[in-house]
Amino acid sequence: MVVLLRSSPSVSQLAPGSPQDLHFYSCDLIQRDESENWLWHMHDKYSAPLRSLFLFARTQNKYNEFINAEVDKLSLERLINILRYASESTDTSHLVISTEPSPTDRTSPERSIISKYVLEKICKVVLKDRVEKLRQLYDSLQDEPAMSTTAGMVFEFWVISAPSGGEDP
Amino acid sequence: MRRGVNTIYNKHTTTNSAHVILPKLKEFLFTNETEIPLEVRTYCHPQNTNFPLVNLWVPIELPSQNGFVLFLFQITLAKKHDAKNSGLVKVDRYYKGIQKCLVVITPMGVQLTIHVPWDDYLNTNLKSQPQKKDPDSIFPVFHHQISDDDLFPPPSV
Repeated sequence: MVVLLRSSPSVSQLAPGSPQDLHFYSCDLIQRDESENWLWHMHDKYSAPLRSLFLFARTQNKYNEFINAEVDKLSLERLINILRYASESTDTSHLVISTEPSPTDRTSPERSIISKYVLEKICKVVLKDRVEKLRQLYDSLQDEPAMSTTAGMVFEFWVISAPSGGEDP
Repeated sequence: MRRGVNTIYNKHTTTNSAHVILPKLKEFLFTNETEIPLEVRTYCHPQNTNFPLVNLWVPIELPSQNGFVLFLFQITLAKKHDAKNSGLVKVDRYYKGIQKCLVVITPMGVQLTIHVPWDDYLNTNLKSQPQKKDPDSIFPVFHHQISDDDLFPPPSV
């Protein structure tokens, strides 16, 4: 759940000892109006960090351009290396790749493609929708348990791409 | 037989299977849950990363069922899968009175164990149904495995 932190009122506005001064004011994003829906949309689409959500909430195209530029720099080999050797290559963009602590070892970094939308872009631009390249990426992710998140994304993406190719009734 | 909060549901074998050929489908992407349609042969694909239970669903006419069955697809690499009660409830709320079926899709060779919170689900949603009713007839669950060659077909010669 994304939480918006509102600025707390000044201390002088609070009665001394008021329990409120012990907390930040916060409110959940509950999709109560158009602007919150838009933030949710950006969050779901880009998995953007909170800072970016607020910076680019009104200029989504700009954010998209940044992502396109980062995707353009990738090749399949580079993508696999970035995902595989998280601790070695550090010059990666948070627009495309997320780096988080491994769930099993909090001191080890774990990388994944940041969102399904970005994965779709990578498939189009880097893999050029070619099955054998996607398979190469998928196979390379299978070897490492630390890359299972990305492997799951690729598997899901590719299975979902298939249903429209069913049979005529 | 398969009741309990964490009922293990792993009896799916080739002798206990169903064969369905999916027709050509249209895609409907959505983020706002108030705009979900129910169109035959249109699969609904929630874009929210936090939508519980399913990756997509589609209502399909099945003559053997005398009507529609709503297929809910969950796509995963995990060897253990927990069906989310909140997801079952949510989809049930959207599509009342329609037979539903959960299909968990994994790569070939994954021996999947599916935990379905039947007690939670029956208690919260189907109070009018007799409690003794077999949950499998209310919300059947299937496991579908996809081979690498089906997933990434080799180029045709």
